Amino acid sequence: MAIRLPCTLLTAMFLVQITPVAWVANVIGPNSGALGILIAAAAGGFLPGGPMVSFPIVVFFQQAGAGVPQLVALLAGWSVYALNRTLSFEAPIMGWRFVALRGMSCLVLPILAGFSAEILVNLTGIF
Amino acid sequence: MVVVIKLLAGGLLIGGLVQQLVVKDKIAALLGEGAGLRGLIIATAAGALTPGGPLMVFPVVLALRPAGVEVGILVTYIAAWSLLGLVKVLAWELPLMGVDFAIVRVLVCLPLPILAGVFARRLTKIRWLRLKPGAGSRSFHWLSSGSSRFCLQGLSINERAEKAFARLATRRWTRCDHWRSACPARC
Repeated sequence: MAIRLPCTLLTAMFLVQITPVAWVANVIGPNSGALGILIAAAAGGFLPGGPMVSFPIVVFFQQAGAGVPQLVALLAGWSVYALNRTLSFEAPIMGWRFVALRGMSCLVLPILAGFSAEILVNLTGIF
Repeated sequence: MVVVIKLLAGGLLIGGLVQQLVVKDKIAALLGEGAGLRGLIIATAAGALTPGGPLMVFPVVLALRPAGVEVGILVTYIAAWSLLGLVKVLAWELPLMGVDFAIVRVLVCLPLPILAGVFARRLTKIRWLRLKPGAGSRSFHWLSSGSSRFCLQGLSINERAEKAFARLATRRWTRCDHWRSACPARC
């Protein structure tokens, strides 16, 4: 914990330096609405690997000005779709039929998470 | 690669142990067909409390399937493990994303695994999504049951391998006009 926290934050800061931040804030910013949630959920599925690899990217999106509902959709998409995990572990272990069933059952979850987060944030005004 | 093999061996061992340890009747009664909403809630709690990565979780799920656990519950369990995993939330999300964000995210995601299980139950009505009993990738199934035999009943893994290869060899040369999953002889 003591080592990985600074490493993650450092990686995120490097990423902020080399990416067009304004563009990110525009695409999945707080004002991007439903389209932003959809894009973030889909992008979450493509985030590679476990928390060690993905959280720097998510922290980077947070620092670049992504909206809270969009970040929730991103993290939920990363957890649920997880293309990397599906291809390397789930399909070889569980078989493609199970992958299809689970994928179809979970298809709407990140989008629902994003929209409910938007409602929650608007209602409570936390952020 | 060595690390992956070690983890995989551990995961398969746990899967094999789970398969041997669970009492089939009790599991079938608690989490089998007709488990209802209570089963989904149990699966959500179990998934949220499960630590570890995919190499540990999927062999366990694979082992629970032939024990008579219903598909909706397995989907709920995987969804809960990935969405609500307590270790992930406490070790990564809280310190990195902030307490407010973590609370909002977990609150929002709390009912979703149950929803996934309900969807999965609906979707199994579609024919090509219905899992065969004991479904799973064939090679992995053999591996996981082989490892449990290997460590618990003293049967050598080579015997299992010979049997499996003999089965495969005969299977390959059997003529069959059925679509594979529809064959009554399961060839």
